[in-house]
Amino acid sequence: MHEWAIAEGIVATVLKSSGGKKVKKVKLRVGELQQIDLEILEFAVKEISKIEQGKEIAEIDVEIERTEFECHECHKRWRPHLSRSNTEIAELVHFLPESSKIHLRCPHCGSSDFEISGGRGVCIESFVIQE
Amino acid sequence: MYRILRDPRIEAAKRMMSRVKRILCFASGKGGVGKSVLSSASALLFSSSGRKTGLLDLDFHGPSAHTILGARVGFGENRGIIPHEFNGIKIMSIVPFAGRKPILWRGSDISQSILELLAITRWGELDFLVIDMPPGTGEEILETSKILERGEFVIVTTPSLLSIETVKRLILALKELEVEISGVIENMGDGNKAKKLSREYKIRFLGNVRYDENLEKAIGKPNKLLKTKISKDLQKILQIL
Repeated sequence: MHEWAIAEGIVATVLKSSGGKKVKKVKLRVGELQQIDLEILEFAVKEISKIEQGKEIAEIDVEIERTEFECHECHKRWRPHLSRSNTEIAELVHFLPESSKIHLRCPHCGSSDFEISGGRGVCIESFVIQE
Repeated sequence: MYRILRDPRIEAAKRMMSRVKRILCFASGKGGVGKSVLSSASALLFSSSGRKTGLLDLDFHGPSAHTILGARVGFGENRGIIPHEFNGIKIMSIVPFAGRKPILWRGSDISQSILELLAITRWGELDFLVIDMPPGTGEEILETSKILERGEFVIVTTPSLLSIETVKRLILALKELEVEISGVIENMGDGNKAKKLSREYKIRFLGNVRYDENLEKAIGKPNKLLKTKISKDLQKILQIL
């Protein structure tokens, strides 16, 4: 449930970039790996923005980025299925994505030296200010 | 429409620490100089004197604050992660995520994880957040200096030439990054080497901490740790910080 912490960061970041103007829409790219609860995230952004700017950010567009790992040893790519394989690891990855590199191994060569090449974190792509 | 392509975690981290009065980062040029013992003992001393204290172990490759204090590190959840308290200290480290498994991370993994932990850990109101930095001038120093605008660096050295020489490099790096340096502590020595260093590099000499042959027996036992020569000497240093 760290969606609220991320939401605080989103609201603070767009308000800092908007030059004091109110923001009505924000577009986010959300990585699939952390299995962020989008309903909670959107609700939290709206609630926090109501407090921070007196009016909620009414529109939140979310684009999901697919998770992909790439092995530095064998250079093969794969998509982990965390929720299916181990819920405890999925929980750790939810908070700290790099935990995956502690608990998972490349399914092709067994190496722990792989890269999270897609689906990590949250990025603010753009925002629209109130007219 | 404004295109910004920004990571919200930097602002999130600032918010999570907005009620922390002071952030003390214990750093050293090389490993084995006692930085983790001094930072953990400092957190214990702050807490035992009634200050609201947090301890963040950023030494991902060799976390040891929990072993020094004998603490079981864990967290709860409430709109972020809330570190469990041990002896009144809120402790966070990589241990709840890694257990006893090895951490074979590249530099970018370390940067990402520092930012992630700082962005989601809700410290609440604290008088002091003590950070045990990893040795050297790697990713952790760069990343924390970027995020922690209010961080004050406490440099730890031993009288050994090996330590002094690496600390000089650390001081230059911190000055280049324009972060605040609180001063230097000489651990396991009479303070003369660190005094000379402090004059040469125009930083404050904070004091020296004597070698204590009983330290090993006090590891993992906060009450015994507080009775060591280390804690007695450190107490004086913390009063001038």
